[in-house]
Amino acid sequence: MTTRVELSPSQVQRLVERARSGDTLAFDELVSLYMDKIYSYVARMVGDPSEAEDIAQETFVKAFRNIKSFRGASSFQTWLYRIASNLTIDAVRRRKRRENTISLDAPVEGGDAGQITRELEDVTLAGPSGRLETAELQRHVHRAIQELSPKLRAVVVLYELQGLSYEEIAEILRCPLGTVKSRLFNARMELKEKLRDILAESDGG
Amino acid sequence: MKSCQRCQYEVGTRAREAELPAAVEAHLASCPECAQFARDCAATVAALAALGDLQAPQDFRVTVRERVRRDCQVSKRLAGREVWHMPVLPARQAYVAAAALAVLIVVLGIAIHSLMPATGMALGPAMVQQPAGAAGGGHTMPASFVQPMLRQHQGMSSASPWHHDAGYYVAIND
Ligand SMILES: [Zn+2]
Repeated sequence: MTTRVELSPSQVQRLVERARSGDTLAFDELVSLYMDKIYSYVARMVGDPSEAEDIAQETFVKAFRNIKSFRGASSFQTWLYRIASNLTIDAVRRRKRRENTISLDAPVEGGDAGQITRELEDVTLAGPSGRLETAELQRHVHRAIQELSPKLRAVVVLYELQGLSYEEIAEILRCPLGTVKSRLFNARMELKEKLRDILAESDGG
Repeated sequence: MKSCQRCQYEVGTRAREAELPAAVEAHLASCPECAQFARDCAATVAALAALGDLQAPQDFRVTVRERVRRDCQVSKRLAGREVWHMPVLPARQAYVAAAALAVLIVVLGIAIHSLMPATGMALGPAMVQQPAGAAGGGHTMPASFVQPMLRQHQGMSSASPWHHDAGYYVAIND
């Protein structure tokens, strides 16, 4: 994995100021700083890597287009996550509408091709793991996250995987702190049940 | 049972915290069910943390750079284009402007009328009723035919401005 140079809040602020005045090079630096985080978040939310790439790119294009409206009331990172969240929610809703018309259980044309594609996507989304059994476990965890409702999924991804604070998540999702905490609790309980067997297996083996 | 519920809620919400309240720790030490719950929670949180960050695809930054550049070019083109905007006036000014426009139209109409040549063409195809005393009375005929006759009837010269006649024609049209 490429190591990104961490910038101080004031250095980020300077880049944002330059980008606000139309400096595309400064904005390019900001893209480089946040692209893995935003891509990760979106990919864990939508599950499909190519859709995630589109949404994550759109997040940055939209951010540049609207950067003059960014007043710095929240951090630039929080603002980016909020844009990504809105685009992701739209995508999840669109998909839900599609799924209402086409059943996911319907046989895929061309035999096992669809299943293979899904497996490949799972491998891509399983993270940079060296050990096969770890990759297998990560696929299960990734799938379990996908089965959560979008509201619970967003909180669990932002807190457990992205390491954001309750306060940042509340700002991104525009909901009270108590709601973030209770969603996190519910998500953990659901995941604990879904992963009970596989975790016991990996612990024993 | 109540203390188990309380304990599991605390463990579930504080799953990533290093320390638990002393009362919760004491309960965990004496309750195998809650101790198992705590181990399951810890394993779940650890499995989630192990997923970690994903890396954006290789060409991600370049694609965003290209899209932003294209976006900038479109914005510049739009900014460079001459766009005519309707002036937006406050309500009171809009009434004044509308009244001024109406006056202007009336004045212009009168001016155009006064400059028109002394033929009946100005009235176009409008049908004009002849005055009762003119010829036959009550018949309708084209204005181009009636106007010269009326001028003769009233002893006007052909050079007379038309607007003197306008009121007359309107009157008989009513
Ligand atoms: Zn207990």
